[in-house]
Amino acid sequence: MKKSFVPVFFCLVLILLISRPVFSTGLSDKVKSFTLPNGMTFYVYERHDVPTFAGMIMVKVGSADERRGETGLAHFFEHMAFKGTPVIGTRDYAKEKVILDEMDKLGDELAAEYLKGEDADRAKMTALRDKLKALQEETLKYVVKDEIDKFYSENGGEFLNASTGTDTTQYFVMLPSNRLELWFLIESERFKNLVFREFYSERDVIAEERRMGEDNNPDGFLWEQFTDIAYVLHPYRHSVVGYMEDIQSYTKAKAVNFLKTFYIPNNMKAAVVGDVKLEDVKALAEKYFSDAPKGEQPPRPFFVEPQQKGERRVTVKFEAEPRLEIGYHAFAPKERDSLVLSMLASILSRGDSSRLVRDLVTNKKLALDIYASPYSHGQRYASLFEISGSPRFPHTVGELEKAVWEHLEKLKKEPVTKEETDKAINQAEASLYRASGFAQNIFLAMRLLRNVVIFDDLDWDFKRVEAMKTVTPEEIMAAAGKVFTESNRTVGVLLRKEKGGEQ
Amino acid sequence: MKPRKLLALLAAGVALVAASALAQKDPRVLKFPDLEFKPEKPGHLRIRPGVDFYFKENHEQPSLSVMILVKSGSLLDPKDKTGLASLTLQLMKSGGTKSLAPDRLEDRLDFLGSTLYGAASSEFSQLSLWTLTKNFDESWKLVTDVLMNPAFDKDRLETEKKKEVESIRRRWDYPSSVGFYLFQDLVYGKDYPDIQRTTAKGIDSITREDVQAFYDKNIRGRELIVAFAGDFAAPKMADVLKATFRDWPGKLAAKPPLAKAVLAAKPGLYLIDKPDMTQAIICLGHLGINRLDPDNVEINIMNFIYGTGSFNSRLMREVRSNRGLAYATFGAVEEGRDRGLFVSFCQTKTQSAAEAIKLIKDIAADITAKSVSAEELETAKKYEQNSFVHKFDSPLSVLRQEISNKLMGYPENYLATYIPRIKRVDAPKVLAMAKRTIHPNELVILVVGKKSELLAQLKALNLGEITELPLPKE
Repeated sequence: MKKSFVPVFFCLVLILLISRPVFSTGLSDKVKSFTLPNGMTFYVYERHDVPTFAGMIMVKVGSADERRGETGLAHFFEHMAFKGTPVIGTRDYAKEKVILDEMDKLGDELAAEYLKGEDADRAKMTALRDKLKALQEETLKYVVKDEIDKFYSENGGEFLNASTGTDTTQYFVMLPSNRLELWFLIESERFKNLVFREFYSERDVIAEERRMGEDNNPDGFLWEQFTDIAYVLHPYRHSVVGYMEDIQSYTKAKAVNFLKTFYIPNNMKAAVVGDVKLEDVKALAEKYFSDAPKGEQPPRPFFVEPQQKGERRVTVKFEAEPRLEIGYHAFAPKERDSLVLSMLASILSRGDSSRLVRDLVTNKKLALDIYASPYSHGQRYASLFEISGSPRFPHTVGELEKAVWEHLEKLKKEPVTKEETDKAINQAEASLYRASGFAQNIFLAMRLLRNVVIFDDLDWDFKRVEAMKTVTPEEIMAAAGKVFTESNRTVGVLLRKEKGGEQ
Repeated sequence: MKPRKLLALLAAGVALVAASALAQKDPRVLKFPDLEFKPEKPGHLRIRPGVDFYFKENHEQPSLSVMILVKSGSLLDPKDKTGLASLTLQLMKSGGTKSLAPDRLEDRLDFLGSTLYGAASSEFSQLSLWTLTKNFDESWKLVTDVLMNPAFDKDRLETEKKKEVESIRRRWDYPSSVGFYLFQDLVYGKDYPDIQRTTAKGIDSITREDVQAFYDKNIRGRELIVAFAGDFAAPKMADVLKATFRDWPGKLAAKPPLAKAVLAAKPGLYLIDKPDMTQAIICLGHLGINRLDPDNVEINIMNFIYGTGSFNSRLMREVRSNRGLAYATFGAVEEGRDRGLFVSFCQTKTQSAAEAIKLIKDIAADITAKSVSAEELETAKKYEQNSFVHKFDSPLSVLRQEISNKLMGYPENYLATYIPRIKRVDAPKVLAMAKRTIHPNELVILVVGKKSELLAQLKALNLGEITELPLPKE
């Protein structure tokens, strides 16, 4: 016995040394989780270096869940979730509610009139808008503006915000760790007892947000028009902020229905990362979230994007230097070919030694920048393989486009090298630990929630890198052959007005 | 027990239950003690005269970040060659080394999954490395090779120059950049050294010899700060650094002269016509304060209330929340090498530009005229005090705090006195600071947008003559 002890001990030490990378298999090594009876799951990652934590709630709802006529609703709702409850954000809710109810009646009338389109009675609409504005003013007697922000800020909340994407909506804040209960209280109340304040006036803010991001920004301007033709049916088609026309016509009933459909505990997951203890998180989760009633699983209509049968192309005019977007319909995220295309994107544009960057930016000096993304719109559904770039004057978007095609054609004919696949794997492995994803509580919370909300697997990103190791150059060639065809292509070009047409 | 008493007790019980149910919903019932937090200092070791090693170990993940910082930047650019410092730093990485061709260097870094960037700001130049621990040795060799033996490949210089010239062409693609750059021009004057922009002519004129000379004069052998955060062992790393920098002289970097900032433009309204826009960009303000201003901590309280406190700030509250005039708006008195900016920003639909300007002007004037409310002051102070801890919430931020305090020339006890200074701020102090730093009658107001729809409403503001400015070429 004694004899064998030493070698065994050495072996153990060796194994410990060799397996030093802490998360060899993924985040599940470090993350503890529990689920309340109503279906809401919490993920806790404890680290006690600094007395802070990040809290995040991710809801599986995004612009991909919106139907025509209600685009932008997920994002609009995210704004509403900052407006308070019957206790937060008001001095006298009973009196305020009387006005809010009256506003809803007027709001419904206004939306109904608006939707008559050409036949709408403009004078009536103006009168309704004026009345709404007056009532909104009247609510101010009772409203305490932006009180959620005030509570969080006074308690040292930082990074307080929310974001809406195509796939998910997330709410987050960083707080000193002794404020854990405050986070639970506010986050539970804002979803359980939300009051839709400023429902009509917030449209003005969102209209400005849209003007800033889509109408006066060349990237947003091109992107919106580009995706609008790349898809004909799937809701990835419309921008997250939505069409101005829809933003102007949401009714309260639609918004309430949206809340009841998607903001249910079994469609929400929470992460707490930082200087907290699992037992505390558990106790507080039970105290604050267990009375949220479980809901029906939200409907997820399956929009099958019809197969594209010919190249689509849009040229938009904007006062900015030219930009290029190329997109190809690609695979559903669960298909192996989607993984194959991720590697391909990495080989094309990750790092200065990648194919497109070295050839088109560094050597030929055709482009200022070039970037390939394996999923342009999101990861819940099949998306586009996207290549975007800016030509360098005097080179044109046309030249850049052709140069990109040549690279894609080559991928269909010649296998990539072993060195390229190894590099792609190394880069993917490195990115599992990259600073922004790990060091900060909030980014880590975001990452682990994406893993579970979209892919239902805490170790999804780690497993994906493992799976990459099995991808062969031949598979990459085959996937390129399937995807990079003319009839599967959408091209978006942005040019200055005076330039007229393709250069 | 008498029934009445029982009833009373029951009623009390019901009241208690009701109170606690309600209490659960009101954040006001939760009371938290102030967080007792003493900021941690990173480790520091002088490797040799002129080479300082700052470090913060953390072994949670098998990776580390390294910053190598030199105290010289674009303020040392020759006047007609603005951009030289930035090009030099970019080219140190992209231009290869004496023993590694540019392609090979990039191939290796990418293959290791390591990232390396070189960049220059006005006062400082920096190489930043991120690598997995297992690839540190080779990555470190590459970085030190880049630092000590850059080759400045000629064709790569052409690439970097052409990229920069293309970026200049694209400078006005985003309307908000038009606002920010040209507002600075107005406030400081175009020739003020700290705000110089690259020009195509200047970039074109830069030769390989210029880059080499800048490197030889301002980077090679100069004083260094080497900072490590993450998975490494400090004593071992100190040995590595001692060996690496054995022959590095660590001489003081040349210090560019400090140019006095004077408000260059006449206060008033300036308009740049961008007829394609459906929104107007509004930048409003004048000069700010010196970074060593005696109120450089206290000013954060005023800024929070005025325009940095998100929805708790007056700008966000009035411009966005109460009137829906903008999605983005903020404002602050900022610090600078000599003077920073006082700037207020908003982006609003063309039709409401004048309304927004009037509103922001009133908000600026009001904070210099009346005391802030006790409630505003309390929110701002609590925020500063309780969020202080976030400045130290990752190994890299612990390093950055310490290094930036050193570089800015803040006193040694800057962090230790931060909270006590915040606690002492009262309403008269805020008013005094506002009166001293914000001058409602000296506002330079720049509007970028569609002139044909702006001119009439701007005239109606009665702010005197409206000076139209052309959109400069670069």
